[in-house]
Amino acid sequence: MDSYQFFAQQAINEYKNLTEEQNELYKRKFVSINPDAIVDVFNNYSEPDSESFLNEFARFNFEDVKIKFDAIIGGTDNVIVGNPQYLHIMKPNDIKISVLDQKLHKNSDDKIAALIHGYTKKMIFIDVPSKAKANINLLFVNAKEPVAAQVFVNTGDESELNLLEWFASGSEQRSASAIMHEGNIGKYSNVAIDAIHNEDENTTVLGLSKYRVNDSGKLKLNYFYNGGAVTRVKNHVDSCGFESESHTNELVFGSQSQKFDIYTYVVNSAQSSIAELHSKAALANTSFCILKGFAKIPFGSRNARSFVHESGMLLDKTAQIESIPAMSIDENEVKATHASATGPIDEEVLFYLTSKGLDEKRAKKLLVEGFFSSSIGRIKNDTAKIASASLIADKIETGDFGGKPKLSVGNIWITRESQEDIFKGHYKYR
Amino acid sequence: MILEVKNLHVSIENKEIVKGVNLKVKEGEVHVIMGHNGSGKTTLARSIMGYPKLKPTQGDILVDGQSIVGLSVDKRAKLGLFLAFQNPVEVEGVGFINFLHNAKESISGSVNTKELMTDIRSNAVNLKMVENLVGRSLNQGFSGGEKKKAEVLQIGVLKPKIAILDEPDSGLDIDAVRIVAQNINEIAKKTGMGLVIITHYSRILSYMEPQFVHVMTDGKIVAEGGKELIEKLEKEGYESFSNGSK
Repeated sequence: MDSYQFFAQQAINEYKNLTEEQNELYKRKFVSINPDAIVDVFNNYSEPDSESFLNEFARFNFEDVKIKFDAIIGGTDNVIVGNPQYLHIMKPNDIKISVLDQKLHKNSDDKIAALIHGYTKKMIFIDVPSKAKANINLLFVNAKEPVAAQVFVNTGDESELNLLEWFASGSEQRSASAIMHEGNIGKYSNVAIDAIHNEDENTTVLGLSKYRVNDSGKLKLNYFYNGGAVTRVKNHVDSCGFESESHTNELVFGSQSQKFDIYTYVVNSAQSSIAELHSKAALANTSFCILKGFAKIPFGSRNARSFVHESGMLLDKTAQIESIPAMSIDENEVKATHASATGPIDEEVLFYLTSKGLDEKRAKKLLVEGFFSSSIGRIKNDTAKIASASLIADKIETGDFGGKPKLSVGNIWITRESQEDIFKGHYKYR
Repeated sequence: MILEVKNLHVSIENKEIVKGVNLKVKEGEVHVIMGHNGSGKTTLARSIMGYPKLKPTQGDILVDGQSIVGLSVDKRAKLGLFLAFQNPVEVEGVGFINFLHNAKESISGSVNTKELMTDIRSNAVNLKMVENLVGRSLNQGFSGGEKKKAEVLQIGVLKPKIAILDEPDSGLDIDAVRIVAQNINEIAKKTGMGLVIITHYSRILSYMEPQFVHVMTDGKIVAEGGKELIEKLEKEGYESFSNGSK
């Protein structure tokens, strides 16, 4: 049987039997998600989100920010605005499994893969031909209905793609947003993907991604996790082409008992490749985050450059961050380093700011905004950058998330992407 | 404004650092506190500003006759007190101008951004600071001299009533000491604020006109007088004051 329908049914059966975390390194430390509860979310929702609902949702929520989305993707329905080149949305039943062949994540790799395979209702193909340039903005919405989708990104040689993905929700009952990505970045192409997660407090966020960057290709991934009650994602980025580059930038801002489990695996599987991971988390009000950054340099990847940098800011005593950076290096001729620093706000810094007149709340706000400013600065899409800053400002002020983004960003100071070489600060490479 | 420190005792982890200091500073006056390393000068300055880990065990700190011991740090700043730090902290991602905007708005209630920028620019020019402050994070990547100058710039912009400067001359080259001193004088003259300069060395004082000089050793003010005390210190060192001679 070659139909997706059969494959999906198999995946659901497999999902039930798979263990929740299979990675030996991390299975002792992960955010657990009740497998029955999440299946229940996909099996029993009130009604599908219609095209008109999705249109109205996007209009209302983005009336201030005015991001023009090329497609709005709900659970069952979707809306394509205009005639975006290189973007195709299909129902899984219209696709033969043999067509997808190597593109699908393996169920055995992760339980979440099986779940998403089982409940996928949308297949999104972004196919940018050689030497072409595309800007594509996608809005994923889970409201009355949870959303499960798979996104396939393929860029031809010497192409350019700027992809914005905004995840929003308006659910009044338990819901889920479960998206998988598979990407192939062409030779000498330049790809920036901004993923802004601002789901509501009823939503469980699940994600899996796998990107391969070919010779001299450049991939910049900017993930901002602001929303969702529970977030569990696994990102895998392989700089597999000669002189290929991947730069992954993760930003987590938690409050109100939000839980985040962010696992990112970066690999340099080619000579002279670069694979970098920057993760930042600031947490308050009983929120919890596990940052698991892992870098792998296999034997033979000479002159590869890799780093994993994780930093955390605890805004009160109830928040908790588990930062677990790790590296596995099998090649000698490489530059590789990792660093991790998590702590509460420095009392001396707080004293400094308050001694100049800022009350403690305002001083902390300034510090959080400062902590995130360079990460926000890396977001490629300018409107999304400002909108993300507004989400941070709102959350500092109220602790809330999942609301409408604004163009007013408070006092946030967005710094440009740092050009500084992180290896300069490492004793071995000074 | 009148700042009064009355018989102030301050301890850290049960060790008494400040042991009964009395000090009275009025707007328009220039005071100097000199003393060797570890004599308690910085602890006194930080206590006046309300550093949370420094709790007075005895005595009082008053502003215009009202005790400020129970006030938070920011409320003391809003009254008109300012502390220029000996080692200003570096704050990643917080823009220097953004910080000043927040500080000015906190103290004054509102800010005219255009006026603020003009004020920042003119102070920066006077202090011979690099012009690209706008793009820089607070004190991050600043040289030692730039950090000290940035503290003086803040005084010029925030216009406190009494500013305590904790070693504004340490780490500065000869020219920078002169520039910093001249700017402090200029700002004080323009605003009429009171100054408390904490220093080890007399060099910065050669550019200033302090009316009151206090010598501090072992947590106490052991000598008080005018500028002549500075000359005595230069000749005899702090040792001669250790016995409490006045």
